[in-house]
Amino acid sequence: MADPMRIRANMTGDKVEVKALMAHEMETGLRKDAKGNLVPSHFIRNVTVTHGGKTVLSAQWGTSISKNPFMHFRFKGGKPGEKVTISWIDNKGDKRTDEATIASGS
Amino acid sequence: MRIYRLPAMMLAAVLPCFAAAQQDTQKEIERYRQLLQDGNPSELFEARGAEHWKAKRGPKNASLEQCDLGLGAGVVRGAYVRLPRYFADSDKVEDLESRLVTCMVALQGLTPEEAKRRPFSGPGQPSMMADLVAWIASESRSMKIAPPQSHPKERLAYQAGEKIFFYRAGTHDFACATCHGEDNKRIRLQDLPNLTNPGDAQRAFGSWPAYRVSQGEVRSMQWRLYDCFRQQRFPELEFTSDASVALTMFLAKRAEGGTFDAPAIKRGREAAMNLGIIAPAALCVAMLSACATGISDAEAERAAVGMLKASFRSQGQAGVDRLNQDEVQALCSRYPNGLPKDLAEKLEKAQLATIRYPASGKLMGDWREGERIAQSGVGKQFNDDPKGPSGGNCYACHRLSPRELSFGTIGPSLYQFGKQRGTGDAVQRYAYSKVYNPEAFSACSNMPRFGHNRVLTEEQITHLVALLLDPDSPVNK
Repeated sequence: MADPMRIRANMTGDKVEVKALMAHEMETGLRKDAKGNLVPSHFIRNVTVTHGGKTVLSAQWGTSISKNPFMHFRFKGGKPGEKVTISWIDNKGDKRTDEATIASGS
Repeated sequence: MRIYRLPAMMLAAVLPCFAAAQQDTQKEIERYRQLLQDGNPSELFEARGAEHWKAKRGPKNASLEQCDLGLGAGVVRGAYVRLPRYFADSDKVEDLESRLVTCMVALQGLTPEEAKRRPFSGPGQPSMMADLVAWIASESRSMKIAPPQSHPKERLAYQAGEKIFFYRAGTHDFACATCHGEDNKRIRLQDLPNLTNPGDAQRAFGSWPAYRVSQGEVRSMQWRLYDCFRQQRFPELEFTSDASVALTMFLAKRAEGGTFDAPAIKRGREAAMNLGIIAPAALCVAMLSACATGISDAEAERAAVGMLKASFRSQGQAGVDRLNQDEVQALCSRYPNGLPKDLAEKLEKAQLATIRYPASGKLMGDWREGERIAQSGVGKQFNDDPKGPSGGNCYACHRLSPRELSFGTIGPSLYQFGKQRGTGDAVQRYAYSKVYNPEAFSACSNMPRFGHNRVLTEEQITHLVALLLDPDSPVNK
C-alpha cells in the first residue's frame, strides 16, 4: 500500500490551484542495484483528477517523471469547501486515491 | 609600465559585467530554489515521521510521545534548534538521532542495535529514523539555531568538535577543514561552505536535513557527516557516535543565531542556492564562545582523540588504524592557522628527505595517462575496490586542461604550468616532488602526499608530471 499523497488546493482568483506530492519510487527499469542486477520498472502510468464528478485533468506518465513526483496545475469552476480527488495507478496495478478540500486561499 | 596598462584597463571593463551576470544568475538560482521548495518531497517523509512518533512499537508496545527531546516530555516544536544538548538521564550530550535511540530503548524497550538498525533510507527501503528526523526538524522551521552551552559536557562537546573538525588523518591527510576552512572554494563545480565562518555555517547547518534530489531521499546531519568522512578516506563513522555528536555541536554552535530552514531541498550548487541573510550578531557570539568555557586546549584534544577512536569501525580497505596520525598530521591539526616558521621549516626539510624517485631516473611519463589519473577520484575510500589503481582527482581542486570546465578552486590554477616553466630537469624534479609530497615545500598544505602515502605509484606520478610539463599536453596549449 503506497503512502498517502500530500494535496493542497487553494483558490487563486477564480481558479483552483492544486499542488500534489506523490510518494512513488518511479523506477525506470534501467537502474542497476548493488549486485548489478536491473531493477524492474515501476512507475505511475495514469493520473486522474476529478472535481464534482467531472475529470479536470487526466495524464499518462512514463519513466521520465522523477521519483516522488510533484504536480501543480489550475482549473476553473471550483469553489471553497468542495473536494478535489486525485487517483493514480502504476504499471504493477498498485493504486492510490486521496482527496483535499478546496481552501479559500489568500 | 606599458605591459601592465592594457590588462588593468581590460579588467576594469570586464569586472562590472561579470558581477552583474553573476547577480542575475544568483537571482535566477534563488527563484529556481523557491520553485523547488514548493514541491519539496521531504513533506512525504515528514508525514510518515509524524505517524511513527505516535505509533506503538517494541516489547513495551509504547509510542515515542513521551520522549523528552530537551524541552520536556513530548515537546517537539523547537526541539531541533536546541540540539545537541546534555541529558541527565543518559548523562550524555545527544543530538536528535542519539536522543531518539535513547527514547526507543527507554520507552519502547528496543535494544540499541534494534533502534539503530536502519539509520538511513535507500531505494524502496524507507528508514523510520530518517522519517522521524525529517518531521522533528520540520517542527523547528524558521526558528533561530540556539544549541545550549550551559552544562560542562556541552562545552566539552563543542571544543572537542572543533578539534575533530581540524583533525587530519588517513591516506589523504584530510580534515573537515581541508574543504570547509576557507571562503569561496569549490570541489569541481560544487560550492563549499566555509564552516568556520558564521554566515556560511548558518546557511549550511540551517539546511540539513535535506531532500537530495539526486538520491530521492531525505538525508540527515548524521548522514552528511557519515558521507563526508567516507570521502575523507576515514573508516566508517558509527551512527550516533560521540565524535559525530561533538562535531554536530561544533557546527550548530558555529551556526548559532542563524535561521533554521530545513528540511531543505538540495540539487547541487548548495551554497550558491542558499542566499539567506546572515545574522550579524551571531558572528560575535561564535567567535567568543571558545574563550569562556574553562576547558583547556589539551583537555579538549584528549577528549577529541578519545571520541574519534571510539566512533569509527574498520570497513573495506579503511581500517581504524587510519585514525592514527603521523607527525605531520598531528602537528598540522594542532596549528589550524599555520605552523610557526621554525616548525614549518623543520617539517619541510624532514618531508623532503622522504621523497623517492623512480629507479629509471625518468620523471616524464605520458600526459594522456596523466589526464586519466587527474580526472579519476576513485581510490582509498572504504567502498572503493582496493585492487584497482587510485586516481589523483587533481581536477577536484585545480584547473588544468582548459577543455575541462568542471574544476575546483582549493588549489591554484595549473593551466600553462609547463609553458611558463619549461621542461628542464629542475622543473621536472620539482613537479614530481610536489605531487609526491607537497609537505616538503609548503608545510600543512591541503594537498595529499600522493607518493609518500602510497595513493599513487611513482610511475603514475611521472604521468602527472607529463600532464603538467609536456608541450603536447592540453595543459600547455
